Amino acid sequence: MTKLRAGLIGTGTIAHSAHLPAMQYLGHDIELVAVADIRAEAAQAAVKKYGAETWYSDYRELLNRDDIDFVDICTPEFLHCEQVVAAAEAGKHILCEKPMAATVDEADRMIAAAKANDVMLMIGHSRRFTDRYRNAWQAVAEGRIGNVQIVRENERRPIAMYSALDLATGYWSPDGDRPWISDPEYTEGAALTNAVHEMDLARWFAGADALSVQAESRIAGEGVEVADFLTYTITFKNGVIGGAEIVNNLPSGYPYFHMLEVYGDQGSVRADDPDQSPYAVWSQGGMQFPVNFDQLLHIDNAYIREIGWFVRAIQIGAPPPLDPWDARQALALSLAAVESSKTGRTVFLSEMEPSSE
Amino acid sequence: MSNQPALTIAGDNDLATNAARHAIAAVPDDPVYLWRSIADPLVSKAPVVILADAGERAGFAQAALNAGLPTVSLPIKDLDVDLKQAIADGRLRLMSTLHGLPTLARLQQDATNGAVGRRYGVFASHRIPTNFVDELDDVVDDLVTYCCSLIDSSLTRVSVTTSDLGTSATAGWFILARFADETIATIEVAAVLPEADESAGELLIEVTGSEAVLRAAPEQQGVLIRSAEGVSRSNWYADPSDFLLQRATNLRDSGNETASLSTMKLMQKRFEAATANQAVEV
Repeated sequence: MTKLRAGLIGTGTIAHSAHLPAMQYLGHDIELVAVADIRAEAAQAAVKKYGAETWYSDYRELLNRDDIDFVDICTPEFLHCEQVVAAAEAGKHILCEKPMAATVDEADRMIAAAKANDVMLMIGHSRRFTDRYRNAWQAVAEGRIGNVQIVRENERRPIAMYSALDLATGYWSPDGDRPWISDPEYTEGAALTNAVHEMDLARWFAGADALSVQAESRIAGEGVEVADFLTYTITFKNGVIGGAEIVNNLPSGYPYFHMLEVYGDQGSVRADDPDQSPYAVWSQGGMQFPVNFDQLLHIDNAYIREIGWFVRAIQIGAPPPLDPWDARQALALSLAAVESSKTGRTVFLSEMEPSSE
Repeated sequence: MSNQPALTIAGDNDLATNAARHAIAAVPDDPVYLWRSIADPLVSKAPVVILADAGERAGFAQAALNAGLPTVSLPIKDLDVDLKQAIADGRLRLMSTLHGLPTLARLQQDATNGAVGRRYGVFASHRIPTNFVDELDDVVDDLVTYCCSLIDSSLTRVSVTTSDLGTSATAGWFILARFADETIATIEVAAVLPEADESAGELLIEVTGSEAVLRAAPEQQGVLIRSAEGVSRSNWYADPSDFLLQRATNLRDSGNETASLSTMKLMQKRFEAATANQAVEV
């Protein structure tokens, strides 16, 4: 297979913790040509560690290069639409981090731009590529639990979850004072940061689009300014109920825990971190699970599979392994949950369609 | 002599008779009156703990309150005006059968003592076998009552989704509740487990906060048996009597009716919210 030449835009936390290491692992299929980040030091760190030829502080310079086959966009969601549309118009195939965008209208424009320019667009919903969820989904798809009735996935994150990975760079601070991920001007918080994963999983396991969602959210952590706690109930069009409770600012000693439960009319599938933790340490400080974040979910081989399968699809001219429409629907669900939690209303997904505004 | 006060225990089921037996054994010098039937005269003047089956609790409560006795009861359906007023002014307080599980008694104690720091939320799910779907409402009320006791704050908003889960009756309750101290509770009860001889099912309760996360899964207290017949679990819960009576005593002495008020409102508003398919402000 022809090696593909890649450019990566946004060398922050997710790039350093997941995308760049995966690209390095996939060196037989990918040559990292250039990186771009508005922060020169972050871009230079990526060049130094992962061997890109050069770096840019303006992503448009990267897109102007004729020798790049695809771009991997790892910037915050409020930049995705602008950058994806620009990349599509530059004729690059595009892998873009989740959440797909900040609005459903933006997501539609991204899909339209990719189609108009005949390039591949895939949104990196990494959990679809993890062993955990693929195995669970396989059991469901084989009919081993009958018809799905309930999908629940709770997620719990400790404060400073990524600090354990000792990354070269952290989150970008657009205004210089606080990271975008905790600034209400730039994000809606947990609904988009991580609940969009749970939204996507629920829709995947339910096998249908959502009808409505009820949600509650709050700011829990000290000094936090965006909702870091979200709980919701989804009613899918086929009657399946989806639910999740997301808590993002738990004590630093708390392990990174997930709990997936899928109940069908003939059985159930469970993947619960406390039961699955492959390594535990007991000490005077209590019990710790040092490898949960790395081995159960985040690094795993999910990103290798996600990027590798995306590249292979380009190489053989196949459709992307994950249709951007799925990411668009997960985004709509997340935004519906935001609306419900702010208003106290049951929000119907039809309300989230741009044509209904 | 013990410091445990004398009690009137109301009910004619195993729970009530076992509790009376335990109380007598634990405190032989203090009389415990077992009030078996609402038709029987209430001769005791001791505070009343109602452990009767769900359908009999309202009658016992009304009679106990008419006699001027402070009363603690398992969840009561169909509260009339008098009983609501009794909860509002603290003469009647509510507890859950779940308070009888040692693990959840300890969770209650730790949560009350502030072990989690600033509390974020309470997640509670109870899954029961499909053949016990008729008991779903009682299970919901028990879980609601327990969660409200953990939170001990005024209820402010309730959202509810119900589902038949592919059957002909309501088989799942999915409740989101906000409280005045900003705690958000997610309470989920569903009849989704395979048919079984016992209704206990699977229960998980987690309290999240700034300093700790408390996680209780009482059904894990058992012996796992793998055999040619498959995998089964033999639970060995302690008798709930002591923990229920201790909870009743603590509740009666607490001077705090907030949890019982929130329980009452949530038990009532869940139906209103389910029918409206919209959040109900309290």
